[in-house]
Amino acid sequence: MSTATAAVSPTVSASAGIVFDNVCKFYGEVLGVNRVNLTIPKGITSLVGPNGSGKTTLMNLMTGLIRPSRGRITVRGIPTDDPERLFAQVGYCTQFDSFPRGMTGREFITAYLRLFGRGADEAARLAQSAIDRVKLGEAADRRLAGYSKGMRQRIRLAQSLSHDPNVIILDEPLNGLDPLVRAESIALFQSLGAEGRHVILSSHVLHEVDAISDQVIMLSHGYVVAEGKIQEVRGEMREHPVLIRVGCNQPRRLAIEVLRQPQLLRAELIESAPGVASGLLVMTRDADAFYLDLNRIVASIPELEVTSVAPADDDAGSVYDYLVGRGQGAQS
Amino acid sequence: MPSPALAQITAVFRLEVRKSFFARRSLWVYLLALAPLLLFFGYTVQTRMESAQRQQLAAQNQKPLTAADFAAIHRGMSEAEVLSRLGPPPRRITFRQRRRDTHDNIVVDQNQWYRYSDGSTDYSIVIANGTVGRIRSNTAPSVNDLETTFAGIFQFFFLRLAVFFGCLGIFMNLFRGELLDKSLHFYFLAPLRRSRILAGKFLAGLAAAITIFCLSVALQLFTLARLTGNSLPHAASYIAITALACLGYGAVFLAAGLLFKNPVAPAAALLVWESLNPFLPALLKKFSVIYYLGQLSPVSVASGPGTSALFALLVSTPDPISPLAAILGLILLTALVLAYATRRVRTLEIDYSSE
Amino acid sequence: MAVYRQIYRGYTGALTPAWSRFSILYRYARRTLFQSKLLFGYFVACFIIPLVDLIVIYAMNNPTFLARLNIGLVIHINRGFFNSFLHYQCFMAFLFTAFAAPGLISPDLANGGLPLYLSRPFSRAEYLAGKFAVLFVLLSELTWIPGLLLFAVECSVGGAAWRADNLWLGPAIVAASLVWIVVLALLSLALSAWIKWRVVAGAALLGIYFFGAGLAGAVNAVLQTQNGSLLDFMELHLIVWRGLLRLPPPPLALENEAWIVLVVIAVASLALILRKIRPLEVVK
Repeated sequence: MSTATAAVSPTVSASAGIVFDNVCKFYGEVLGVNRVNLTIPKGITSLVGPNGSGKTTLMNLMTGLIRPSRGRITVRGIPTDDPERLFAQVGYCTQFDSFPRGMTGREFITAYLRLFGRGADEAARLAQSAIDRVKLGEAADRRLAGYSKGMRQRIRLAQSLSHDPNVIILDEPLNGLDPLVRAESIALFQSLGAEGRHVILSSHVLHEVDAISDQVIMLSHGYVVAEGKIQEVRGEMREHPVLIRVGCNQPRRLAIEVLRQPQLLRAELIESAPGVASGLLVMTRDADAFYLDLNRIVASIPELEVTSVAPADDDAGSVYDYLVGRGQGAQS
Repeated sequence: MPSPALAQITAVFRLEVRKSFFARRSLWVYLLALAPLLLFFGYTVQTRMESAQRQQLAAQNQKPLTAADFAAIHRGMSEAEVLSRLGPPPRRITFRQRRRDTHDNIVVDQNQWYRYSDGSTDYSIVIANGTVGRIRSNTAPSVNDLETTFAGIFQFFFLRLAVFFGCLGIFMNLFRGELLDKSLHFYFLAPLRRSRILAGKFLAGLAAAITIFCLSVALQLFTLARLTGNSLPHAASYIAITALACLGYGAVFLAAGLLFKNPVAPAAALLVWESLNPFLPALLKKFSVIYYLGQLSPVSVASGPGTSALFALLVSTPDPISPLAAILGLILLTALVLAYATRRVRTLEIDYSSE
Repeated sequence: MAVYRQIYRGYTGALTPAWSRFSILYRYARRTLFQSKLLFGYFVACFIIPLVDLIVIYAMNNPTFLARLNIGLVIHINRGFFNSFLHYQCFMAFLFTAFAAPGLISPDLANGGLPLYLSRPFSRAEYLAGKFAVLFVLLSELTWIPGLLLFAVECSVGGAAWRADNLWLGPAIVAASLVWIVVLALLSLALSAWIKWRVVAGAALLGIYFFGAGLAGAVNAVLQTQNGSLLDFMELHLIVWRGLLRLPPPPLALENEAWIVLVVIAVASLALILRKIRPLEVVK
């Protein structure tokens, strides 16, 4: 695990990733983010944390919309105050729900592409491709002012993807989307990540990012509290006991057996219906020892049938709660 | 094939020029440009009607009258004397006038208003209490009169107020308007230098301002030309000065839009500064747009209509400079302001929450 | 079967009486306005003119003081003096309004706040009265209240003869100020209601004042008339004040016309406000 004060990861070369080098941002006397040292590799990276934790500040910093009070940021080796080179590589779908007046969705994307210096035909072709990618073909020629929230979100997404960037930054990209479009968008992000691009997205809905993220960056009150693969982060947190969910046909019997282990702190029956136990939730200080002991118990009791064994608290929500303390965690 | 820089500036220009011309927030700019045009149109109609009326009055005189006949009429002359010299007036209006006497009581006087004309000038003689109280003459305006009138309105109304507020509306909208609309980040997320965004926006604003206001001046001059039958002299100069005014004020308001969240305060301060220009020391005068525009004006107008004698005394006349120096001075001032604006836009951060 | 958990308890405490409910808006708006140090500083600076006038009244009624200063200047404390006071003080109050008034209604409309007000036991009239009260009270503090204080001071030091001759001047000062306050407050609230951005609304108010004055001068100069003065917001009031303060009328007095224009401005502004302040929103 690397924390906010950890050194830049040596495994990712500085020119390939997004590098924050001791970055601070203050809005007057208000802290935006503080002492951020990060290297974000390729793949899907999620910034997680509750509202006001500094996710958008971090995204605005890496796109040069705001300037760090201290420190330096580079995106694939390009400083953020060099927009010509930076935005040839970067597409940013912001959370600002506003558009230039009087434009249709297609005009909005085409005009943006023309700012790149692209010709009318090429801009039109790229715009169409981006519109198709977010499945907004029918509404593309309607005025933006008449779009629903979900359509506005998608047209912004299309605009950020339209010039085929290597680094895609998405601020709360799933907000306002219905479940179907949400699923399509998640699939799109996964395909973009699989193509070897940097996909950085923010969310305060932690379970949402669990499924798709290659790594997470956890923020709280402007500080990075953890970064890395979520399971690795959980594994590093030895001071917190591990919760393991065991599905079996005789949970009461299993509870009696496992409670003999000295490292076991708690065993709790999981009820599938009132009075019907379908599994056991155990809390242990040593997961490896528990797994070995479980093998032994299963071998010694032939009628005991274990159907599943899975960690119950290595999701982003649980990890975040452990890191910042319960009661101030994000929704999960 | 245009260079990428030119292509990008053109792309910004294309997006902005439509907004500059048709933004709902700036539609009142057209009213500002239209106001003097309507004024001169009204003036033309009024002058023509007066001319026709003069001819009509002259035809109705009992005997042919000349300017010498009217010169003989003076204040205090009796009503009978007036009638014997000029004959009965072609038009006579009785009206009541209120005044306060020495004891602060309101007194109503019954007065007569006689109107005569010799064909080129009409004369209004007010008879109060049986004697001549007031004499006014009104002659059809000459080309010289029109030129002076136009110059006065151009300098003291059109440049200082219409173009000033018009440029305020157009150029402040370029950046501050986008911050209010929360749409400036779209430009800042495109791969082009911010100086090019500024250049494209400034050129779009300038195109709109020059088109609207120069067209207004041209139409004003055309309206007056229809009245006199001849075009007014210095038409090209007035149009060029208007374009330079748009350039100067445009740069100043563009920079102000980047610097201030509320442009009302700097606009009011600038209006006061520009109005105080005649009273400023020679060195400070040079830091205003109106100084250079005043130097370029083909017809010199000392002070605006209604300027008090006290203020007229305070007016300091600057050493005249050549038109070329004035143009270069204004362009230099514009360049300095734009250079500062470019510096400012490079470090501008997007923070819509404070708008 | 259904189980309802009755955990909601409505507010049962004391309510502000209905007749004074509009004053809640006034209290909060005043507090918000004066959170700006710049605006508060300007508001305080507006009392410089009354202070100077107070010193002048004291000096002109104190021959010993004048003799000690050795100043030959004599300023007559009369209707002309109070006319000048109103002229300058109302201009200061106008600038204050240009910064304070645009923020009264436009943020409520831009941020969808109006339905929140009107979904409570709070009517359109009360909303409008609350917003109007903000300007009415603040502008009163800047105009007729100091004017009346100066008048009272002059009454006390100017002697019985001055008092007997000029007793009508007190109500005249109040009436002249009220005309200014009502028209300015309604006009600025109308601009605030119709222009979404407070900055633009402030600029529009300044534009009406300065551009109107310029246009009036231009019309008078070009068309050789005095009727252009009816386009000048300040001049309209100066004409009306001349009548109220019994000053000699100018050659071509436009007093009746000025009254008509002011009434038209006030009624039109009120109509514009009522058209915009509605408990529904039309989304285009």
